[in-house]
Amino acid sequence: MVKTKPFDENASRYEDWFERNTFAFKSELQAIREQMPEKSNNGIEIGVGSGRFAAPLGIKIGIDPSKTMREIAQKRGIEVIAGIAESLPFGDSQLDFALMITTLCFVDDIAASFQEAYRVLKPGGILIIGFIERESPIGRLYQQHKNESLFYQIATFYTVDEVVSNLKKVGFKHFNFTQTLFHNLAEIRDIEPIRVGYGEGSFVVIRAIK
Amino acid sequence: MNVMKRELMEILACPVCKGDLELEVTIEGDEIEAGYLRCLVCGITYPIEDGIPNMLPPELRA
Repeated sequence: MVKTKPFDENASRYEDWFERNTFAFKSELQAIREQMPEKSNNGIEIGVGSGRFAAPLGIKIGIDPSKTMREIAQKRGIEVIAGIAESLPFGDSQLDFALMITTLCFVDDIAASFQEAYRVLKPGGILIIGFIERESPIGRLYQQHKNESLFYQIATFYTVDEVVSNLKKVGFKHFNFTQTLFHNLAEIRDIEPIRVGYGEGSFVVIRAIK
Repeated sequence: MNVMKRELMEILACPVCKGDLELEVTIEGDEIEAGYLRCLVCGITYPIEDGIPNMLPPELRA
């Protein structure tokens, strides 16, 4: 089942998160930005949501199953497409890069989503995944309070190892890891550092190559 | 606001069978406001409304 209901019905709550957690958001944004290819603009965001990341990152095309999210992203200047990660509406080997930011936890089928991302990327194309790690401090907190969140009660969290193992299965290689968010959200008062690797920061960015 | 551009056709394909699509435009300003995309392989038709192509597999359309 495609998980659009909380996003369609609680757009203002979704948008609020970014206002209330502006330093966490900016830290995540910077971690993603550092993994982006420098030259190409031939990329998409899968699960673009309201365009919070795509707009400042200069990503022009985004796909999302939630109508309300798409309409906000469209107003932010993104060319949006209704669709799902598991059945991407793109031809084979078309794109230089694809992003999935806090999308993995909401897809129905992570293996199919990676298979599709792999298919639409050109050889040498880059997949960038940003997510809250299941066993990280924020990941654990989200799971403890899962039923209190409109969004996270429908989420499935993953460890880095689970994500990498699924990426490898479909053929991705040359993995690169960075991490940020070294405090719990309530304690973040400034932009957090970005460090190589994983295992400390709650937000992990994985860059993988087709 | 940003609506569908013709250049999007270069990368779009049928989400179900990945076949090439044919574009039929019904309302066009500088960009595509409304119309539909038909898969030349499996024949499924995808609507474009308010400048947004609906490329959800048909069983998931609201």
